[in-house]
Amino acid sequence: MSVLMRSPATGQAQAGSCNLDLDRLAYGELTPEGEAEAREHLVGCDVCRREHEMLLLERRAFVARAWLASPAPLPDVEQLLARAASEPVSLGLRWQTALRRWSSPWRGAILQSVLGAFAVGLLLQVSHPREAQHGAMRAGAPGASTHARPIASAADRSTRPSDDNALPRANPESCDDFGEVCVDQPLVSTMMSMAALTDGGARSPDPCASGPQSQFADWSAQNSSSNELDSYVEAVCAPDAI
Amino acid sequence: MTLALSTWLASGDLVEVPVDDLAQKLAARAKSGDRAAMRAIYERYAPQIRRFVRDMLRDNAAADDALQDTFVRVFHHIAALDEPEHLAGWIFGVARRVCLEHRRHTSRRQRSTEPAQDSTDTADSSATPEALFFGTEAALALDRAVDQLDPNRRAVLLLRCDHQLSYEEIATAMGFSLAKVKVELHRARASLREIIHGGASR
Repeated sequence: MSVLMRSPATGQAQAGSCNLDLDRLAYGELTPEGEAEAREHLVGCDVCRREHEMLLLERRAFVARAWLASPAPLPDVEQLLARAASEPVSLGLRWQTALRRWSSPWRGAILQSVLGAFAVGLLLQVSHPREAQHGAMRAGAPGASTHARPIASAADRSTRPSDDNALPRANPESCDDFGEVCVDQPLVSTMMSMAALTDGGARSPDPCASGPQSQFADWSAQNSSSNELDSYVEAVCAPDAI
Repeated sequence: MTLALSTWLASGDLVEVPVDDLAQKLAARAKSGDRAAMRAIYERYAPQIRRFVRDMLRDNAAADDALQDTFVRVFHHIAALDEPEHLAGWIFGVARRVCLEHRRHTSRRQRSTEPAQDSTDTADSSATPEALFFGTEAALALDRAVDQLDPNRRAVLLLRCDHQLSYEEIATAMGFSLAKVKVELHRARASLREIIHGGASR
């Protein structure tokens, strides 16, 4: 361990710019090697030697001051222990103590990871609204869906480019036996259109369809083009889709 | 101070101060509620803490109160002690906060503090040869000079020079970084010397 700043040219310690921890030297806190090196330096450096002597003098003066102050009698420790025991433990302190007892490096790491993942998830949820998702429900079959995701909730927006207003909508569609899709005008709201479909097909059959019709509602979190919707409903209508 | 502050601070020769094993063991036992360990901590640190709070408050009656408050808090909160190896720094930190509260309370009540020169603090003629060597006058001069320091610097200087705490423990007690401890100690020493030399030259 080097405690001295030496001149690059001569290798001699530089007086006045010494990187020497005289305070630790005066209080005996340097390692034996560091102390030996420091003492060697003091022999050749008047500035450091004077400062070192000042620190030693100061230290002795404080020791003398402490000795000269005669000690006052101390309060009874039992009384202080009883006072400490009688003080209510605050909720904060209880939590703090419990956490400290529970905490360990690996537990801390796990907790941090879980909290971190939760925070990231929350941030993503807030900053990126749900991506466009389509779902479909066959009339009269609540809950049957091509997606694992449940049937639309009021929070799901289903909008069509042709829609004038921005109310959440579901788009009733029908599909006949030949797979021809007929897109109806959207109902007023998601809830209404869901109700129309889940009560067993309350809507009147579409006149443009041939044969038995399957009715669906699709929903989307984002605007979708008519073509996208149509192709989606066609896929849903496939015999093995639902 | 003749050393350039920057080079002094840049010193990377921080030495691991030997950990006070006994204090660490006492702290660990006290944390688990061992009253015998708490008594031992009291016997070990109470005299130092009393001197420290007296130096900080300059009022013996207030110092007695502060000493009691400090140890009640220490016993009450010891389960929450984070670093048993810095027990001394932690206790001095509690004492310092108690002193700050006492001072705030006193100034709020606008009560004038009495000078801390009662019978218990007069020079003891039966002191050690070291004390006799330096003499009562020198000690009193030092006492007066310490009294004139800014409270934070006074605390840092006393923790180092009187109670001989390591930089790390002082940092714990004061809530400072190591660098700030060194700067404050350097400034406290410079101020102390200035006060003493100024007093001597008058």
